Amino acid sequence: MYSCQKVDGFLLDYVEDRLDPETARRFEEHIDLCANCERYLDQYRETIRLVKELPTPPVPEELAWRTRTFIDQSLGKEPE
Amino acid sequence: MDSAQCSAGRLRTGQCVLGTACVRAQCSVDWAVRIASCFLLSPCNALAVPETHDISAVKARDPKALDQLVREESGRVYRCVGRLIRDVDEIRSLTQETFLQAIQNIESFRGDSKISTWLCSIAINLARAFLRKSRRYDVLEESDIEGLMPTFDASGRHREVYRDWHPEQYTERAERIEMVHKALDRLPEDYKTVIVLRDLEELNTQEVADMLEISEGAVRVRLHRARQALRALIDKKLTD
Repeated sequence: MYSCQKVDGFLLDYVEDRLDPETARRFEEHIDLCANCERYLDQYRETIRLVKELPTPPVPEELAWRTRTFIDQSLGKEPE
Repeated sequence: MDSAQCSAGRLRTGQCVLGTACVRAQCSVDWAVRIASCFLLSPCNALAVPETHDISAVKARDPKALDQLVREESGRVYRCVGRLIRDVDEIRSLTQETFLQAIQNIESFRGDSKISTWLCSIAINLARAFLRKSRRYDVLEESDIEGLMPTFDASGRHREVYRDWHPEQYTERAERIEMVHKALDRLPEDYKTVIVLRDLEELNTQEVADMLEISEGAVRVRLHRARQALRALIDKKLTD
């Protein structure tokens, strides 16, 4: 059976469903018998989910106007 | 600079004139723009929705074309920067700088991607440079990251016993988001960037590799380590 260390090396590929069937089977065989690795896998997935939950920053209403003004002022300073 | 030094350019265009060494040296060329030109040439970009901006008019600095560009794209650029930086004044400042650099270097935009994608890549590169210089956050060193990785005994067993996370400690969404933001802010810039690009912007491994000028294998290793480090930082909060 795979060791915890071996399973750790396959975590990324497992959550992205990139393991070949035999490796995935052996990975899951270990997870079924090792509560510690199962917990780590759950937390690894939860970490990804928590990151995906981060909100998109709200855009200030005056952004376009301020940016346009900044561009005009900056380009106006350029040497001819 | 010799074009052979730029892996992204060598792989994709054969024309890139700026490499990693330039970024490190912070040389006077507008490197954020040049790197953006290098990496944003993937087929998914090239075959995307047709360009809605009049690039010729933008190159001629036609006021109406610039108005349209800023009006329609500033929000997206702001959100790109805002993925990496939380200070609204800095996000706004970097958004403005992104447009200025883009307009000043518009001749290097070859139309291989949409201009909106090109703008966001410039924005991300500027934000990364800001993070590298900024000492605002309590950012971990690489040696600290190593300490957040799981360790194993001689037989390959985990040395640490992982405890359940207590969901009741983060049932409030706002608190949960703040906790994750704080943890993410502690990651070194290159770890934070790879998580943002993969898990938030949902770029594929090749796109991230091109942008960071590293191999796809290196992206995967860095992503795995970044997620493990982030898990460990969150773990400290949720098992106390």
